[in-house]
Amino acid sequence: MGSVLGVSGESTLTEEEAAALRDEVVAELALVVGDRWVTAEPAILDGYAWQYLAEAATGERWMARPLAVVLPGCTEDVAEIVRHCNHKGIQFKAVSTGFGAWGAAAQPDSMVQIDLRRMDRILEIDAKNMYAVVEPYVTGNQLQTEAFSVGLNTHIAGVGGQTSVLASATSMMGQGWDGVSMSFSCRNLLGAEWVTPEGEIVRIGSFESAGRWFAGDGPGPSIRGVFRGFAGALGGLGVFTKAAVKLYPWEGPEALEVGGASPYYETEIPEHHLSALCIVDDWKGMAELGYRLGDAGIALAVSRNAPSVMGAVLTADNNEFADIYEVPFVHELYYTLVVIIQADDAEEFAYKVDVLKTILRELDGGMIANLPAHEYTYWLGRFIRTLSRRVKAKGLLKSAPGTLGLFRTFGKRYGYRKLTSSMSALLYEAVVRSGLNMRGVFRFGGTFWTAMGSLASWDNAIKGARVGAQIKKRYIDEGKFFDDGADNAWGGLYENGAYSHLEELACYDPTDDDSGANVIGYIFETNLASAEHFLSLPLNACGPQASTFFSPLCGGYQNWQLAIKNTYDPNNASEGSSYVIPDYKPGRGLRKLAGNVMSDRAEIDLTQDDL
Amino acid sequence: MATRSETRHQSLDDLDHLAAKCPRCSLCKFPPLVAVRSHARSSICPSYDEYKYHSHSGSGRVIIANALHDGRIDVTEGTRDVIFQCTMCGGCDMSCKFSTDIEISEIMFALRAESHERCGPLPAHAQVLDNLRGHGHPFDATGGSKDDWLAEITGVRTGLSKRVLLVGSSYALLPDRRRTLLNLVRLLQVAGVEFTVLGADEPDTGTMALHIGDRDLFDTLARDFVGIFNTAGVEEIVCADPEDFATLRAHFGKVGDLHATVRHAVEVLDEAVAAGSLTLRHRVSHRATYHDPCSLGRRSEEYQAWDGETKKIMGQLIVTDPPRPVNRGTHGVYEPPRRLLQAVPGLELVEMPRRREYAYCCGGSGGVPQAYPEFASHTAHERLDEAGDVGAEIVVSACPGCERNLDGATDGRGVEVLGIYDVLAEAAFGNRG
Repeated sequence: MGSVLGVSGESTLTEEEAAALRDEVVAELALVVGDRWVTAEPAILDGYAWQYLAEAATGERWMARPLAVVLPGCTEDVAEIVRHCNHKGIQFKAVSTGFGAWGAAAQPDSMVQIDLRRMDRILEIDAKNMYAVVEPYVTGNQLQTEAFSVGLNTHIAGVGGQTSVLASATSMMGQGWDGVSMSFSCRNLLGAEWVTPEGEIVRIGSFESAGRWFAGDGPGPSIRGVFRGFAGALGGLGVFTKAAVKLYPWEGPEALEVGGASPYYETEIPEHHLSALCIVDDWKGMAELGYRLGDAGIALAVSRNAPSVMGAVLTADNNEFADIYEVPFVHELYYTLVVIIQADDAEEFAYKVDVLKTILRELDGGMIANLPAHEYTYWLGRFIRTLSRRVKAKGLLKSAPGTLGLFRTFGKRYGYRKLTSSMSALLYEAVVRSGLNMRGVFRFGGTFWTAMGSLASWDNAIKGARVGAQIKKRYIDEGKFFDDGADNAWGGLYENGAYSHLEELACYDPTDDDSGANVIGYIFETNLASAEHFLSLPLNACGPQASTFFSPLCGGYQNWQLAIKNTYDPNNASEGSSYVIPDYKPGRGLRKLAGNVMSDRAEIDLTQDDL
Repeated sequence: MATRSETRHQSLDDLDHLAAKCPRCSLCKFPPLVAVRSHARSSICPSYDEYKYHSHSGSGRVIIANALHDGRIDVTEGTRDVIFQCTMCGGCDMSCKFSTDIEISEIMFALRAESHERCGPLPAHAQVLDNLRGHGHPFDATGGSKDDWLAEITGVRTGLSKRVLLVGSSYALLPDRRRTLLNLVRLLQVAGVEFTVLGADEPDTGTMALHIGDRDLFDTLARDFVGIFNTAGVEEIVCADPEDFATLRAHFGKVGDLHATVRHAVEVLDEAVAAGSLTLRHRVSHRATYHDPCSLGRRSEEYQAWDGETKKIMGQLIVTDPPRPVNRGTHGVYEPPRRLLQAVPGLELVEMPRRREYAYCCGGSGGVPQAYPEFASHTAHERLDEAGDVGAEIVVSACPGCERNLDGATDGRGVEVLGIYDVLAEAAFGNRG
C-alpha cells in the first residue's frame, strides 16, 4: 500500500540522529515533567501512531511515530514544553482523548506528542450562570454526569461521550444529536486558556478581565475566530489547556436509572420525557418536519439516523444486525427523525407532546414513542400506515415473517410487555447519553468516514445527503463500502433549526488494501459536489491537501488560515498537517487521485429526490 | 473470507483480524457510558489510571499486538513492562464489547504468551513459575503444605469424591486468609453440604502460569488437573477461590474436557440459605459494600469454543458463520453474593458506582502484586476510596486476592475488608472464627 496523501513521509534524520535527538528531548523534557511522564519507548509511542482513519492519510493503519510523548500536569508545563520545542526547532502536537489521525504525527521523528491525559479536572460548574470550566481530558459523558446532578446538561459531540469536551470545543466542529437545544461544540465555547504556538499563555474572553467565564468574546481578547475559526485547527495551532463551555437546562433526574446488563442496558426514560421515532412520507416531509420542530422549540434533540444505524444501535453484533436488516420494511425507514422531549412538569410535557402530535398529524405522519398504551397504539398505527404508503401491502406482507422473528428476539430480551418501551429507551439512551455511537458506525466493517456538508438550512442539508448518497452508491456497487442502501445520512438541527447538518457516512473495512484510496476518493468527490452545488462548506475541506482544491471554491479560507499560522507560529512549531502547512505543495499521489476523480465521477441528478 | 478456529489458546496471528479493528476510540477506558455515575469514578482501567499513557489502556495493548504483528516493535524490557503493568481484570474487554466484538482480554493473554515465548518471565514472576513447577503451587515452599489448615478443623473428609471443594493455593497457604477458609468450611458443614477436600494432593489450576504467559506450564497443569478429576469421576467442583473458578470455566476448555460441573462456593451457600439449610440469625450491624471480584464476575464466563468463518456480506459488513459467541461479562456470578449479604440480619448493603460487570478491579491480580506492588496498592486505594464514597464501614469480597490487596490499603480509613465467608460465619455462628 502506498501513501494516498503523502503526508507520512520518511524521516529526514538518520537512525543515529533520530536516536540522539530522542534521548536529548526525553532528558530535557524530563526536567519539566519528571522522568515518569516523558518517554520514547516504541511500544508506548505506537499507541499514538495507530489512529482512526490513518489508512486514509497514509494508506496504512499507522500514522508516523512521534519522537517522544510527554504528559504535562498543568498549563505551565505545557507552555514550557512548547517553548522548548520552539527552541529546539522541533514540532509538537497535543491530544486529549485523541481519536483521529489528525492528532498524530505526519512525519517520523519530527514531533513531540503532548498527551493531556493528566489534566482531567472539571474545574468549575457554575450552575447559576450555566457554564462549566474543564481541563482537556474531561469527557462529554463525565461532564454530563456531573451537570445532571445540578439540573444542567451539556452538548456531546457525535463522536461519542468518551471524547474530550475541550478538544471538540476548541479544535473541531463538534456537531451532535442534541444540537436543536444545545447547539454544537464550536458555538458553546465561552472562553479558553490557550498556550500559543510560541508558548505564551493567553486566556480569552471575559475570564481575563472579570475572572468569570461568561463570554468568549470579551471584555478581553476576543480571538476565538483566530484560533478555531469554524472548523478548528485540529491541533495545528498551539495547545488548549482549559475551556469554558455553555451548559443547558436538564429537566430530568440527577442520575438516570439504568437496568439490564451489557449489551442490553436499558435506561429508564424519566417522567416528563418523551423518546419518539417519528416518520413522514418522503424527504420533503422530513424537511418540513424538521423546520416545524425547530420553530416549535419543543425538543431536546432532533436527530436523523439512517435505518442501518438504528439497526446497529438496537443490536448486539453484526449477525444480529443482518437478521434485522433483512426484514424489508426496516431498510425503508428513511424518513424518520428521533425526537426527544424534556419537560419540567406534566403541563409543560403535555403541551410539548401535543405540539409534536399536531405537527405529525398535519404531515400525515406517525411515531413510536413511550406514550400511554392507547396513545401508543394509535400513533404506532399511524407509523405503520405511513410506512405502508411506501412499502405497500406487499412489502408489509414480505416483512411479516421477519417482523415476527424480531418480536420473538426482542420480546425474549426485554420482555414482551416492555417491548415497545424498550425501543424508545434504547433510542433515548443513544441520543441523550451518546454511549452507543460506536455500534452505529464502527461495527459494520471496522471503520467509517463521513462526507458532505457542515452547516446549512435543513432542506439543503437533506439535499446534500441525497447527493452524497448518489456518489456513495457507485462505491457500494463496486463493493468498496458497506451497502447501507446508500443512505446513511446522520445529523440534525441546531439552535431550533436556525441551521443544520447531515453527513453521509460511509462504512468500510480499514484492513482492505484499497480502503484508504477508496475513502479519499469518496471524500474528494463529495467535497467537490458540496462546493459545486452550493450544498454548504464541505465537511472535509480541512487540511492543506483538501484546501488546495476547495479553498479557491469556498472564499479562499486557506489564505486566512495561512496568515494566522504565519503570524502566531513563526517557527512552524505547532504541527499543522491537518490544518495548514506553510509552503505546502500537493504531492504526485494527490494530484493523480484528483485527476482520477475528476475524470470518473458519479453523475449528480439534483432532481432525483424532488428537492 | 477466512476460516477460523477458536478451540484452543489463540495466538497474536489468530487474533490479528480482531486487533486490527481497534479504532482507538477510548471506550475501553470507561465503564459503558450509560452506566457512568460520577466523574470521580468514571474509569474502568486501573492500568491507565496509574500509568496514563494510551499504551496502558486496553486499546493501547491491542495496538502493541498490532505493532508486534506488523514488526514495528520488539519485545523489549519497555514493551514487557507495558504488557504486564495490567491486572488482567477484563474491564476494558467488557466495555469494548458493549459495542464491538474485539476480544481485548484474549489479545492480552496472547501478548503475554508471546512475550513469555520470546523473552521468558519477568524477574518478579520467575520465582512464581519455579514454585509452580517445583511444588505445585505459586508460593514459597517455606509457607507450609496445602493441608496444614486441616489441622485447625475437624470433620473434613479428604480424598476425591463426587463433590470436591477446591480450596485453592491462596486460601490453603496464605496465613492471613486461613480464617476465611475455615469459615467457609464451617458454613458448608453446618449447611449439610457433602464434600471432600484434597489437602496436600490438591492440584493447582495454573492460574498464575496463565496470567504470566507460560502457556506450556499452564497446559501441563491443566491437563494433569483434568486427568485427576475426570479419572475419579468427580461430578462437581466447588471453588473457594474465584481465580480457580474463572480459570476452570473460562480457560480449561482450550486445553481439555473437564467433565465436572464447576461452581463457586457462594452459589452453593446461596442455595443453602434459600433452602433453609443454612440460617443466618445473628445481626451484623454494619453498612457494607460488596466488591465484585473480576474473577467471579466478568472473567468467569464459560469458555465457548467456536469454529467457523468470518465473511463479508452486503459489501463490507463482517459477519461470522455460525455466529461467534461473545462473552461480555454479563453472566458472571453477581446475584448470589448479594442475596447472601442481603440475608444477613442488620447488614445494610450499599452499592458502589462501579459494580457487577463494570466493577473496578482491586489491583490484586494478573501478576501485578508480585511485579508492580505500588500499582497494586494504588489501585486498592482507589477502590477503597469508592467504598468510602458510599459510606461503607466494611468492604466484603469473595476472593482471597481481592481481600488481601484491599486489606493492605485500609490504613487509617476506618474501613474493614472482610471475606464474604467471614461475614456469613458471623451471621450464622455469632463470630468470625
